[in-house]
Amino acid sequence: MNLDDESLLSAYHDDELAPEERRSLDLALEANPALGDRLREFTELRTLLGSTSTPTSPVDLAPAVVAELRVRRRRSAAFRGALWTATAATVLTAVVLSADPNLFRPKRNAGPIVADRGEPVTKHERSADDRNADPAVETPASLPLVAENSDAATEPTAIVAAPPPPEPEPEIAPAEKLASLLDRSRFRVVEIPESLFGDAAADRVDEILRETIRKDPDYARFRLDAPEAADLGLESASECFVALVDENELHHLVDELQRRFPEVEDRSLESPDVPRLVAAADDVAIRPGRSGASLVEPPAPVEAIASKFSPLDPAREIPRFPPLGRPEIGAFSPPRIPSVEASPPAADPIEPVAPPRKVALIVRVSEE
Amino acid sequence: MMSETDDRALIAACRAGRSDAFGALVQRYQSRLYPTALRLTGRPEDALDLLQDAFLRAFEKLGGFHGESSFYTWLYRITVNLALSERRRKSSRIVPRVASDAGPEPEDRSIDHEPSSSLERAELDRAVQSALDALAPDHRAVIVMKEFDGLRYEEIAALLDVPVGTVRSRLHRARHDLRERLRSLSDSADVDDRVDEAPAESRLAAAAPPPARVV
Repeated sequence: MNLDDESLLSAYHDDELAPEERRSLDLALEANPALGDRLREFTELRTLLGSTSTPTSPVDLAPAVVAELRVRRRRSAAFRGALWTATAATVLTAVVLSADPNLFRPKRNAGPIVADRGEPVTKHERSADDRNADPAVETPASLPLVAENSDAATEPTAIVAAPPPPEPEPEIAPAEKLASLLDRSRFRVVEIPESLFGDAAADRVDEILRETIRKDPDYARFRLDAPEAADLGLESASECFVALVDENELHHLVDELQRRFPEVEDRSLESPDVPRLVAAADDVAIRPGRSGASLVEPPAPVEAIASKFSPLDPAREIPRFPPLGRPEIGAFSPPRIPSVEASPPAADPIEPVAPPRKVALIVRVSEE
Repeated sequence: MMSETDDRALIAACRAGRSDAFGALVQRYQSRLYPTALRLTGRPEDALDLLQDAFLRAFEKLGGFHGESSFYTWLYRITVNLALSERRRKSSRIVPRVASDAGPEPEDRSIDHEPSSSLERAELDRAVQSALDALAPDHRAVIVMKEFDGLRYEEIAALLDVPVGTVRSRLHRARHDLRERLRSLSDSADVDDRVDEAPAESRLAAAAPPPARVV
């Protein structure tokens, strides 16, 4: 008797067979006493299991559950009150970028960094011993030594004879700056309909956003006027929230949202030109996360962060984050600079400064 | 006596924001769900954690409950699926638990004050729970739902969102595994002469403690 037959026997024991199957088994049982033994084993097992006692719960869970619900409700109300309630939520859009994780942090735009004693610093020197020697020193991952687009980024180790003259940093409109930061990225867009903000789903959506903010990623806020919002498939002007989140984390969050709420649409294949939309945005504010926050403003608790995302009110001035300034070179400790002689030959391979491949951007759009 | 009408009234109150109404639902169904939770998790504290999570999850998803099934069935489904997902999550580090003095205590029974039959039953409970713990989560779930909770194949299939044929094969394999594990406990107990003279069920129950738990 193969497994299929035995599972039939199990189903026979449970009275779960169709009449014709049952008749066949009846005949087989008459002809094969061994089958009867197997059937008796099932019966004995059921008797045995049925003779166990029925456990009783040692505690009443109701008070704990109710208390937890009240805590969650208070938290949710406080957060939503600050962040979401006053604006009629319409869409949450999640975008995955292939970009530098320090996207929103200040970057130097030209030339290798020069230590304050005027000696040249090579990428290799900074990327090996010195990073380990002084953890306070900004690492290349958090503060690139060479601008991403600079040709120097792909050159072998360069010994620079003299500090380059400081380049004047042109004034860049925040929207353009944000757009440029988001440029050369690929996107994943997930839209959550407004209806999901009206019931229990809102708690989960809030929870996700709260978790996102609590981790204090780099983030920015901007506002899209109607034409740009229309490009995102929205009918009205919108306020957007942008945050850099770990891609895997975002994947799980979006996956969970889609599993739980079939209304959630993945619009990745029809992603709009987000950088172009952002370039036209108003009221752009950019704030680096925890590791870069000291360059701009002290870390703020989640409530304080949430309060910055106050509802848009045309009659009210939208709070802006302090403008991003170029960090002073002397603001962080210069690394120990090995002598030029001690430097490895230029032919040595440069230790790659590999940025994490992907980060996530969450854009929350709300109806004005 | 509980009724679906009462449930609906309580659910409506919950949706209106009354947490205490949900507390009443917890009190109403906790005792029915606890045995299932314990058999699925193997430990009272885990069972309570599972139930609390299930109730909280149910509250979160209350908007999605439209009364197609009874509230208890809906809760039962959440509990079972939560237990399965939790077990799967932990499965990489799960080694079958076996009975020991520190094992699950199905009921608070005082040896001093209980008759010997109760003691035997407690040992049987322990042996059965140990055998259940050793099953794969999917197999344990179908055994619990069928043998302890008396569900039909179709109901189990709907709860687990699998075909009826899958339920049938899982159940058969689960019975086979369970039987083998209980038999091995019984065989090891046969060393004890006292157990040889006891009824078959008691022999299984009085199995000597298997090797120490490895977690």
